[in-house]
Amino acid sequence: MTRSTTLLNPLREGLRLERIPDPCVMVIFGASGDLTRRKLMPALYNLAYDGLLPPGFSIVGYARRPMSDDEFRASMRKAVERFSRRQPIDEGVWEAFASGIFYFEADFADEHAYPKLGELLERIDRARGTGGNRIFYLATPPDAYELIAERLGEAGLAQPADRDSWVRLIVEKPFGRDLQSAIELNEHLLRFFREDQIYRIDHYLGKETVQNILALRFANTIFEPIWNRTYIDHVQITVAESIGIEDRGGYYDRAGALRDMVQNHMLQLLSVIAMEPPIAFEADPVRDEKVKALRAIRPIRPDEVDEYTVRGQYGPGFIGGQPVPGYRQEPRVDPNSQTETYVALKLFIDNWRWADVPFYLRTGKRLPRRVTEIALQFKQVPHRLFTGPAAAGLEPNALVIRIQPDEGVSLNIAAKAPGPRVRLRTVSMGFLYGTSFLVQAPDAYERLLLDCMLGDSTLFTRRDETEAAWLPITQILQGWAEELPPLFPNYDAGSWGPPEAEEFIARDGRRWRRP
Amino acid sequence: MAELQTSRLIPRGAGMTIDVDAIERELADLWRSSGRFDARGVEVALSRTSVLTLFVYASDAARAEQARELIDQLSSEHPSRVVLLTGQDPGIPGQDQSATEVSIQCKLGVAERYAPCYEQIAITLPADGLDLLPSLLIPLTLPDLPSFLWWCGPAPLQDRRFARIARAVDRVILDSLDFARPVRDLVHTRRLHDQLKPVDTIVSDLNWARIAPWQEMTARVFDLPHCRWALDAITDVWVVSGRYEHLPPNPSQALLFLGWMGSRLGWEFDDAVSRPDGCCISMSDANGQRIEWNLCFEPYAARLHGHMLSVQFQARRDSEQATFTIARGGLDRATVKLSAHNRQQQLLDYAFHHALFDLRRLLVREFQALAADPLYEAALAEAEGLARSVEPWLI
Repeated sequence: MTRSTTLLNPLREGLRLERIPDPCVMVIFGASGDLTRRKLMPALYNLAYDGLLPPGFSIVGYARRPMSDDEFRASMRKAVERFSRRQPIDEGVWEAFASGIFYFEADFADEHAYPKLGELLERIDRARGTGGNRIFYLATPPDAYELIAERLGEAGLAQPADRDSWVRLIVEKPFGRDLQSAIELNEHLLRFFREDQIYRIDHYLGKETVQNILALRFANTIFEPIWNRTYIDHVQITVAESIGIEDRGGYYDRAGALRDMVQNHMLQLLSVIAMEPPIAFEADPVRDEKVKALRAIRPIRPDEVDEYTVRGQYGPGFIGGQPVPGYRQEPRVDPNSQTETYVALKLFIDNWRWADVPFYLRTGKRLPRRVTEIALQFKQVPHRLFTGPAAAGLEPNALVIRIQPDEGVSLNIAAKAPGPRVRLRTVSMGFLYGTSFLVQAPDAYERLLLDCMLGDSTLFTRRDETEAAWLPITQILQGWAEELPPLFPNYDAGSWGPPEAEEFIARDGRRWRRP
Repeated sequence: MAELQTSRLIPRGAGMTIDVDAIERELADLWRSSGRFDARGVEVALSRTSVLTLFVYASDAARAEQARELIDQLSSEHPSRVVLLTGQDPGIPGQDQSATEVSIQCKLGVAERYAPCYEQIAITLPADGLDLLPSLLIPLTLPDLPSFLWWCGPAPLQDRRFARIARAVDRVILDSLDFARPVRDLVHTRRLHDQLKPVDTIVSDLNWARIAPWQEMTARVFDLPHCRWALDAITDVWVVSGRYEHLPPNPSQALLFLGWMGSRLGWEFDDAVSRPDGCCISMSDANGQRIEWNLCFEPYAARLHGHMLSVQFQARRDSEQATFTIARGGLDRATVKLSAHNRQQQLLDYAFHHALFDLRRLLVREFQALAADPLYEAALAEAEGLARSVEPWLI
């Protein structure tokens, strides 16, 4: 928990911003990389623009490329001009923000660099009043995580200098490649940082709608009583992307859709849908319940993977009327790659609430449209009063939570169409967040960076969560490794995935939604 | 984003009555008959999402036009039932012939199946229509949702009927920047607040929201451990507000700001004296230390009339001395910049952009606040006392 200087200030009480972060320095390892340019620096500038950063807030960019402070500032300004949602750049805000940006040129492995980094941080503390508070952000390839943590620990930078200051570490996904490597990574980080100092970032949790799932479930009385196996037939979670792998071929070809999307984003969505009510909306109670849900996922034995999973890889096709290459033709991808770009899964959560309710998950690249949604499909009514033409085409009730784009919730219900005869139609009661609340939702990174500065880890994943999420994924990976891969490519870019995925769900008498 | 709009005029009934039932009936009919297909012929579900009822009273046609533009912007993001009530300018003949207009406006997103819609009801009130306002507000309010009345223009705070109108809604939004007699009307606002307290109608002032950036920046200075000492050692404060030469000075923002600081820090009023460009209010803190509060007006363009332009605090304790300056800057004057100095060096350079100088954002903030703001209540109570003390010089 962060020390609160604001309690001492009677002017702070009652203002809109009840808490602002303590002045601090954020050290970004991998400062010349894409994540810093596209996400981190624009998010930090947006926070500065909105007045959410503390006075004195400073940034140290750590990278190998030779650069002066001014050159780094100029390159970050270009990044903000290109990627910030706040346009045009406010000169007054930028000037004050940029005065706190510094550059530190060194190799991550250079053990002599870290004491010098410590000296720079102390100088910033003195000049800008940052009080020894530090955030180390690992915006680097994952193979550098352990090394940087170790060097920070050896240089005495992993722990705060005094009781009143704090040090935090933000780690980007992937948190390992499988359960064993995740355990090893966690154990390594924990040699130098305490668990409460480590913030594992999954930007999906920073999305407003994901947080709204908790509000929908636990701030309304009408949903929770029917949120269980008695009323819900099945759940579908779809994360569809129309883009390919862009310039991430090297990484993606080693990861695949299961590691890239399912292990983190999709299982996080599953856990907030499936979790039990936490005792408080605080970091540990929320995460305790998410972990319980993840641990209750029924294991898939290697010989069961055909029954519970489908893999796909896209071939050439069309997206938005434009021809696009197949996965194997993408840059930095093995032309004979067996990496999956599509996954469909059927999972069961073996607990009192969800016993025998299938959770169908699917994600893929180069699908026809970009959409992320969770659909809870309710059971049919116990006795059908309306049959024949009256109910032709009538769908069971569905509660659909749209994460992106156009975040919102819709409930599909049956209603009588006007007229002398009884004819039922499915009508959708829609609620779009964007049209019911006026403030533009902040980018997920803005929310998460601010939470980290405030010491609120509710929306970050805890060690046991990452490991609980890796367990079923590792079992699937083992099963896939033991069998012959499918004949890839097996779906056209611009389609909804391989035909096997349709058969997979049809075997259960169900079908995929068309979101 | 395409727009679907459909509207209908409802003629006045006998005796110029405004038929609320006819308004609801016509609206229901519009919902039934509205087109449900976008430009490509794809069926679109019209979605009536409302989170509040907004009544807007515009004292004349010019203000009504300004309000209508703002409502269109607001409603595209925030569908609500909006009722625009326009007062009549007695100097312009023939206005009584105007009818009530009801309309539904929907925004059709590209390739989306839902179109958020809002209802707008525009009513031109007969001359001196204050009496009948409550009889319109109550039946036109959507059930179970909060209702807001935004009084666009000088509010008749001294008119007893105004409190009766305000009682018909959950929140009445004034703007002390529009006050005809700013100092006197601040006193009336406090009285209105007290009258409405028993019925749970909240009074709010857009001008209070405008000082939020100043409050935030001031609080932020003293959040800093190395600047905290200065809060108990303030000796002088200079507040500069803009004044348009053709209008009487409007010290409402500055008085609310001082009211806020005084109520938070337990400052007591001592006396007030006139200055050539404003006035000086002397206060004492809990330790009896005197604080000189200088309120000055600088000639400025009409759009910044009554707006605070800068605040400077000076603090002194033993050998320590610091000056904190907060000023509006930037092209649109929406950047709030803080600089702090002690005897030797610059302590701070900090800035943020504040959307609360924009009227649309101010209203958004009001719509999101459903509970009373105890800080405003305390600041208003303090500001009322200060207003009485400076009234002789600032009328």
